[in-house]
Amino acid sequence: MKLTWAQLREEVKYTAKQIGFNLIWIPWTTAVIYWLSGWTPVSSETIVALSSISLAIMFSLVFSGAIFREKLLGIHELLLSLPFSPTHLLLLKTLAGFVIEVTGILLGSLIGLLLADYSGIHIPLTVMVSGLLISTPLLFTFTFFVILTTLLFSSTWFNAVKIAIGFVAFFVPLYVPRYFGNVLSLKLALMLSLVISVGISIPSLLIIKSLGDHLAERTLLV
Amino acid sequence: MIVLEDVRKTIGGREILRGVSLTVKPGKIHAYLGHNGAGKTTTFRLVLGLLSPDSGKVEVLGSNPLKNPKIRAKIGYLPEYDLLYPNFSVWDNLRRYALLKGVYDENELRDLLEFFKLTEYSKKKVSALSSGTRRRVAMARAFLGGPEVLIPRRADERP
Repeated sequence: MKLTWAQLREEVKYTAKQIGFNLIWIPWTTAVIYWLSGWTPVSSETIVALSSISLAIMFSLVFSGAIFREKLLGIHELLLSLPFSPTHLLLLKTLAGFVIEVTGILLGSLIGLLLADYSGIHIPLTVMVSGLLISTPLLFTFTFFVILTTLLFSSTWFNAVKIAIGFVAFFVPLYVPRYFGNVLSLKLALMLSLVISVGISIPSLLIIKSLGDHLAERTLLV
Repeated sequence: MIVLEDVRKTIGGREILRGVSLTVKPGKIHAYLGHNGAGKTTTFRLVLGLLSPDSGKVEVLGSNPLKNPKIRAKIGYLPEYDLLYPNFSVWDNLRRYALLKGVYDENELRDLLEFFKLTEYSKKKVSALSSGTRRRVAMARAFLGGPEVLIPRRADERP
């Protein structure tokens, strides 16, 4: 069965309902970072470059909650009994998360630009677009990785690791420029994002390939 | 038609199914009984293509449900537990499942609600329903899309 718009729309609607407060948190955090970027001694490009990577990693982690909840309720088994492969289900959930993330970041960036402009700080629109471009590959690959690993390894220690990664991602754009200055240009950030995306896609694909027909079984029996 | 031939399945080092063979012909109703831990759930999961057998053959309507997941569109599954979204309404639960299954038809959904005497509850959240009503919702969900094969778990539970 091919992925349909109706399925994607339904999954976006469902995911948006499940992540609740995070639906506001994603654009709000993005807006604040954009707004504050004008107040720091380093260039807004550095802040946007660093934030685009950090935010993509942080926001991807948000979706593990909705997945974990479905597993906890046992609904995951019902979803696996639908007429498509488990990889299709993973892609559907990843795409739904991706749509919410990109919309949230876009909305947050625009609000952030307006707020910055209102405060007399001009951030070029090209910087914002570059920020979104930097985030995009990471948002997709990291969300896919987070969903896959949440389905395969839901446990307390794994949740602790995710929280730790989230914290590191949160503090990087706040503290790295303060101590290291203009460490990252937009170009370098885009390359870094692509490298991390490829790096994170390799284990995801290897897991799926190695499990083969046992993918549904492994996610079900954890 | 469901066919299992000499199916073996081991999970976590424990042999759950040892050479299970069965045939369910079209138009027939079969009961699959066994004590706790006998492997009923594992058998149903194999029939749905959620597990892969260590050896043997599993076929539903002439296809292996693991290799050809599309065949699951013709299977109605009523799990042991209702597995409904508690914070969603009855309508939203059914609608979501039908959309994901690719069988959404608003008229059919209304008919099913009526058949299972759920019309008055359609806008109510599942968490506010009695266990019997929740079971009826799960039953209605199993009938979405007019399945050719129905697998009701715990069919003895009367709502």
